[in-house]
Formats: sequence, C-alpha cells, structure tokens
Amino acid sequence: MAIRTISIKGADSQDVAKKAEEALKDFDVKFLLFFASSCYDNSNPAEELKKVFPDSEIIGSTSHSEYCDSDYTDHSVSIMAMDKDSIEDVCVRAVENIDKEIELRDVVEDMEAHFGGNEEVFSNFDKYVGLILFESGAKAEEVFMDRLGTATDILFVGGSSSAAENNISRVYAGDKVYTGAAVLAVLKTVNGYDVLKTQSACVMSERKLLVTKSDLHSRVLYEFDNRPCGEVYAEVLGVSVDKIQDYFVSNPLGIVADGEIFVRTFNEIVEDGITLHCGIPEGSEINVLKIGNIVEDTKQALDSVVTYKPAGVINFNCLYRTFEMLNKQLTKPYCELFGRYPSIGFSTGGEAYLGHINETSTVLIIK
Amino acid sequence: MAGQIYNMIQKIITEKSRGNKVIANSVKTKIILKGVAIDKYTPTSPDDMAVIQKLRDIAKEFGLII
Repeated sequence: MAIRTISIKGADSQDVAKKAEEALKDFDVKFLLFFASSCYDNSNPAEELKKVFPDSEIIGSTSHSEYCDSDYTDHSVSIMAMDKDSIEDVCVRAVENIDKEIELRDVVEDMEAHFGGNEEVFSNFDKYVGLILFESGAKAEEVFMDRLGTATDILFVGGSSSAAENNISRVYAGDKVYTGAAVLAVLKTVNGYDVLKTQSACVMSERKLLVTKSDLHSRVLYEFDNRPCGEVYAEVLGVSVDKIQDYFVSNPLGIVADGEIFVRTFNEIVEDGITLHCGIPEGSEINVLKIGNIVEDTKQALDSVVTYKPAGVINFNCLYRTFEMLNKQLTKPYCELFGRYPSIGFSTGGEAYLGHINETSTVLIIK
Repeated sequence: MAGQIYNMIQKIITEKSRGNKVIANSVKTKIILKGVAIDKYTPTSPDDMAVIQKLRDIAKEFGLII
C-alpha cells in the first residue's frame, strides 16, 4: 500500500492527530498532506500531527470543506499519507511575505539541490512534481506562480487556502503555521505522475479581446482593445453595459493557451474597471467563456487521463464549483468520480497549475 | 523587417525545453500567461518593438540570451 487516505472528525487538533495515528499505525508515513477545516485552528493541527508523525514531512492548508474518496464533508480533516512505495524523497519549503516582490531562484535551487541539482530534475522530469499551497489572504498567487514557473521546470500543482465560518486562513509546513505565505513540496515519485486541469467553462465567443490596460498586482482590468472592458464585454454578450454584473458568474473570462483554458473570474465593478480574482497582464488575449457541466466535464477529464489504477489522487477544487454543486445537488455524483481512487481534496480559494487560475479543478495523480 | 517576434518565441521555447516536449508546452503556456499571445505571431508578422522588448525580458528571466 503506497498511499492511504483518511477523513477524520475530532474534538480538536490533538484528537484528530490521535485518530490519524491510530488509522495509520501500520503505515510508514514519509509524506503527509492534510486539508483541515479552519474550525481546528484553535490549536495548530500541523503541530499535533508532527508530534505523532515526527519523521514525516507534513504540509497542509485550512479549508472551507473537504473531500476524501467518495465523500464530501465539512468540519473535518482529509489526510493523504504516502510511503516509500509511492515517493522516493520529498523536500518541503515555506516562502513567507509573498505579497512583497519575491525572488524564488534561491528557494528553487535549494530544493533542486536536495535531489542532486537541476540536471537530475530535468533529466527525470517525469518523476518530479511539486505541490503548492498558498495562504489566500496574500492575494499574490499569479505573480508567485509566474516567478516560480520562470525559476524551475518542475510542474507545481495546488491551490489556495479557504476557510469555514470563522474565516481563518492558514497554510502549514512541518509543525509551523503560516499566513501570507506559500508552502512548496517537491516529490520524487516512484512511478511518476499525471496532472490534469478541468474547468466548468468553455469558450462562448471565438472573438479575442486584447488586454490593453490592466493592473496585474491589484487585479483590476480596465480596457480591452483600447476601450472600457465592461463596454466590450457587454458587446460580446449582446447585453447592455448596465446588465453585465448579472453575467459575471455565468460568463467568466479565459486565456486559452495551447488548447487549455485558464479561467479568470470577475469580482466587482470599480471606478473605470472591474476587479478579478486573478490579475491579467497587458498583452494577453482573452475569450469570454460560458459555464459548462462540472460533473460531465470532470468525468471526461479524469477518464481521458487516468487510464490506470493510480496510487492516489489530489483534487484542488474551486470553492465556487463546490457552491455550484451544492446548489444543484451534484456533490454526490461528483464525489463518486473521485471515489474510484484513493483521493483527497478541498474547496480552494484559487487553483495553481503553471499559473494562478479560478473556477477550476487542478488534479495531481500519483501513479 | 518581419518575423523577429516569431523567431524569438521559437528560440526561447527550443532553448528552454532542450527537446523535452512536455517542458516545451509548459514554456509556451508560461509565455502566454506572461502576456504574449504567441499563437498570433507567424514568420511574416511585422516586428513590434514593445513585444520584442517584452520577449527579451522574458528570455532574460529564463536565463537565456537570445
């Protein structure tokens, strides 16, 4: 058994750790990934887990709601434990103050050096994969992912923390807790991995809109094709400008790269522009999207990639998608898709794969 | 002169990926997400100094000299 998944509800973090220790007593945990409802943050769940798994590398995030195998839960902790049969080695680092201008070259070099250096990683690209967990309060994921992608060839998959009703957002590495930070783990897998990304949206209009004025850092979009963005967006939809807010959820924006859609969702109209949940650099070409069928699209995406029996599957599923599934009572058929594999996931405040994405599910499949 | 942008894009992708197809695809996507709509440039596209400078900056970030 190379990967185990467990879902725990406990009185507090200590109780959760005790239950995890019991559930994994015959399993040699090399790496432990957890998604814990923020209701457990009155004590640090990573610290408690580290006490019972002192020799394991641990990373985690707070969550609004959790997935484990075929279950959707809240106020719980989903745990994935990996042993040496699934990962040969792992290197964990935390990067703090990610809202400041960051230089990631040293961190990446340090992580690659852990495995023998850049040439080793490049030559065995199909074995190395990264996990990334952002504390979402920093709102700096797009710049971080850009810098990370520039500094390394390792593919990083992950998401941003979310929170239950107490609104506490954290990420964890080792026994430490972080805000305004990103936690990275590079895994050297034994049998390789696959990554997939599926979004509940497809291209509505083939018309390409050139972003001619935007502020990437503050996530404000001002102009398409040298005209106010709201005016052009309304034109594509065929509605009046004063009605565009009604279409923000059903018709997000997307950058199409090599056939893959990178969704950018709207936040709100501000003076002269519209704020998004992910900044877009000037020079980008955008399509207006329409929302599709989450369950069908996810099934198709999983079935096209996971044509073997995976050791484990990690699903970073956008919180918006969770809300939509709850509204349409689709969580059961959605979870049944992931119940086919040992899997965990959580409802994310943003997803990561090559860049920062919205309204998407990024999935890491460990072979 | 035309085609400079196309040639720069191809050079960045080729040098950065060193023949690895998966990395080549991820480099393409990374450039697009940095704000260069690479698919619209062909060997006959007119040269645009702003885009050329942006690509020079991207190449430098990747540690490449083009």
